[in-house]
Amino acid sequence: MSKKKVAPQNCTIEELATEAGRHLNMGHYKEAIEIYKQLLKRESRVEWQRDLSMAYLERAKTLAQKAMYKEASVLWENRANLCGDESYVDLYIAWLFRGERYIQAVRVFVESLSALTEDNVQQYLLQFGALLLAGQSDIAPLFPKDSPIRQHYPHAHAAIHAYAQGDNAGTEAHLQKIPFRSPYRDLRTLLKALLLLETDPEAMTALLQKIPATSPYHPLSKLVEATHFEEIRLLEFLQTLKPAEQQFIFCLKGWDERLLKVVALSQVEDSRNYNKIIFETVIANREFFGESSRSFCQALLPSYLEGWRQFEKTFGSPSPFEKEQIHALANEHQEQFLIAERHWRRGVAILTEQANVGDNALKAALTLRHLVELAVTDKISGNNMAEDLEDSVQLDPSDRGTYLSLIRYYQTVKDDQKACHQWIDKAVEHFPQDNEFLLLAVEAANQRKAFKKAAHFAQTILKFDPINAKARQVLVASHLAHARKLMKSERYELVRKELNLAAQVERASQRTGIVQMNQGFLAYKMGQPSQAHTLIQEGLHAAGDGLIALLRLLVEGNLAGIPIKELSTFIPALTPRVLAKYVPLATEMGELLNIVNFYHEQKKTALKAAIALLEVPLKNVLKQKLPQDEMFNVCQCFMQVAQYSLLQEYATAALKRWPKSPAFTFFQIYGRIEGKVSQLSDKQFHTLDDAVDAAKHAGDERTAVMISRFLKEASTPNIEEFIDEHKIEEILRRLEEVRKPRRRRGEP
Amino acid sequence: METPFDILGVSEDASDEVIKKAYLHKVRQYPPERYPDQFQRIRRAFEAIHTQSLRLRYQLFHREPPRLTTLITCNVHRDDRAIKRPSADCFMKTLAESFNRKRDQ
Repeated sequence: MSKKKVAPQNCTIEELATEAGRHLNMGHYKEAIEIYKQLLKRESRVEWQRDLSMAYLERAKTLAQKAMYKEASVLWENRANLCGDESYVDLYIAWLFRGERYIQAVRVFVESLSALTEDNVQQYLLQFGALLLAGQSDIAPLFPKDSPIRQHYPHAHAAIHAYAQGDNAGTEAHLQKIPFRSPYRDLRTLLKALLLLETDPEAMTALLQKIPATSPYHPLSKLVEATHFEEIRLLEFLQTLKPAEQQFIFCLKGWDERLLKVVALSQVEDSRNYNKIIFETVIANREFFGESSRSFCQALLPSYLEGWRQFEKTFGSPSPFEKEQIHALANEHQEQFLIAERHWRRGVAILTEQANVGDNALKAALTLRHLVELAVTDKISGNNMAEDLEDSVQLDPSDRGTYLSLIRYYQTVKDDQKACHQWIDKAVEHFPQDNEFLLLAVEAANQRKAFKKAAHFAQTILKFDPINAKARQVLVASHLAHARKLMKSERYELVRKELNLAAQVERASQRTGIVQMNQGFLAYKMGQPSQAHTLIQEGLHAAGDGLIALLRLLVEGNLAGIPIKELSTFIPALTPRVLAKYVPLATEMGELLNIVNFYHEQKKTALKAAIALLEVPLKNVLKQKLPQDEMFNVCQCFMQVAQYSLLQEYATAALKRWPKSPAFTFFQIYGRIEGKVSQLSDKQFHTLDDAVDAAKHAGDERTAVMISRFLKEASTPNIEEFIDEHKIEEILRRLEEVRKPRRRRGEP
Repeated sequence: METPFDILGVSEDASDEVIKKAYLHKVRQYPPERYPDQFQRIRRAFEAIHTQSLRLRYQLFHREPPRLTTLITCNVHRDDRAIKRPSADCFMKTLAESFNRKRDQ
């Protein structure tokens, strides 16, 4: 609706009255006031006066909401004059007060006491009391002489002075003269709290909390509370305060007031020229900041290289290494990592020239490790990674992480077992009690078939950490491996010794039966079948007597050089007739999978033959209804150990229970083609392709990824299909020759 | 950005012992069960600088510009004196400032 002005001279009274009412209803108070004033000039009507009064009051409220208190109070006065309406005097006093028309405010307050509520009176008295103390003494004579505000004022004033002069007793004495309902009651609480600042901060905080948020002393109480903030929080709080308030806190904290200037500066932190402003201010106040101004400005240089000259002029030149460091950081800041690398390397060269001075060696080592971190995140080339790590160990041999990085680098990236073992040896030499390195040393020694060495490392671990199950397991495995080696060379006495050592190390609660089985094999080899039978039975019993025990027996027997056929001649449980009747418990399957995976990871070749012998009982498991998850795990395990017949059998059984399941469809096909991608028919390819979609649709990411990987392999053209067989070897050899130097250059 | 030194309230040349003491003091102030986020912040700061090697590493490669508040805090420590009382004049000026603040709200 438009606020278009109506020309009063052209309108009838009725038209104007309608227009005025319309403006009033729509909240256009200014326009309504103008028209009602015109109307009242033409004719005095009570309802127009009433409406004009309302328009004035509402307009005044609108202005007060915009903090235009002076304007609001003037409108209230116009309203009183023109309409004779003096209602809402409490609002008028508030606007006068906020508009800093204090004398008028007090006058109206004193004249209107009867029109104000008791709460209003008390609240205004508090405000006027504080105003008096803040130095507005000209309002005092406006109050009656016997009013509390005048009577208690001298005590309040004297209490502040006594406090400021450190006269606690005097402060207390004056405060006691201020009654509970006095207009200065909150000042009393505040001063009492301040007296506790040094002696009982908790009691102080409790007292301060008694000052209501509406009190004029409340902002001051918040300043006092802030003195107990942590410094960083306090500094942030200071940035929001006005100068007098900042000074008040500085006084209470006993801080040097020269810092006030810097606190004011921190309010420009968001400015684009922040670094410049700060840099120059700190330099200008360097005498005050002392030594810290140099380090502060130096730390600022990477983000404000423009200040370099001024820095050198003021503080002198940074050291050669510091120069490189500042430039390197500045370049990193701008994501120019290759230039940064050049500066870091120059820095390392400077430090290593005087490696025995101060922290130089450590700094150089840390810088080299920093370069490796940059290389790992692809910010710089990885060509020098190994060299940098090795040099850093030379400079600072105490960093275990670097040894681990080197070991992993040679183990996984370079596949250089010799270098890897050398670094393991160095790590153990430097950290002789470090379990992680000792375990790596055990594994390395086992790989080299240095079983005695492996046992020695494992024993060292157990010396420091007797409950380390892995070390114990590795020690037993080392003794067993050594025993097997000796058994092949028929040195049976030494075998016995090794097996006894293994038995001693193995904890009764953790027996797997393997040691007893091997003792049985030894007895068998030495021509003592009955003793062999007893020991093997003990071993089977310790291994749990079920399918797991049989699997262990078969694998261990094979490793000891005893063919399965021979074993089944004296172990009845292994005869086909017994095996055919054996139905393992569903609960045995989980443990069996663990053992199969364990042997598979150990690359025990005997595993396949052992599972093949146990095929019938493993199929018998299907008579029981295994849950879907467990069926999946079994299939996955059979897939990994290349047990295609069992895999097919399990997958087919699963598909009967869960038709069209993408996972079991895949396992079934995988079993049928015996894991050979080249055997995959077009139809099977499409079935698997659909299975990926179905798995994704069902939210089964695990299956979708598994099948996709297989299909990707199937989609990659097989070089053998296109090239004559006799040429393949030659081509692969040449490819390897090309690849090797590139790997060396671009590793990892 | 606050540095680990800021968080623990120690200077950059503080020793292992001073840092550990500051850390334990902060943990007592902000126990994990009551202030999990604050505690994590304090823990991370401690882990970043609790050895000489880690501090050196931080000082060598940290490239964020330093905070002014750090410099102020550092000098606040240096000039820390006994608490003194504001003058009556300062008290009254602050009270007047509070009036303005109340008025502006």
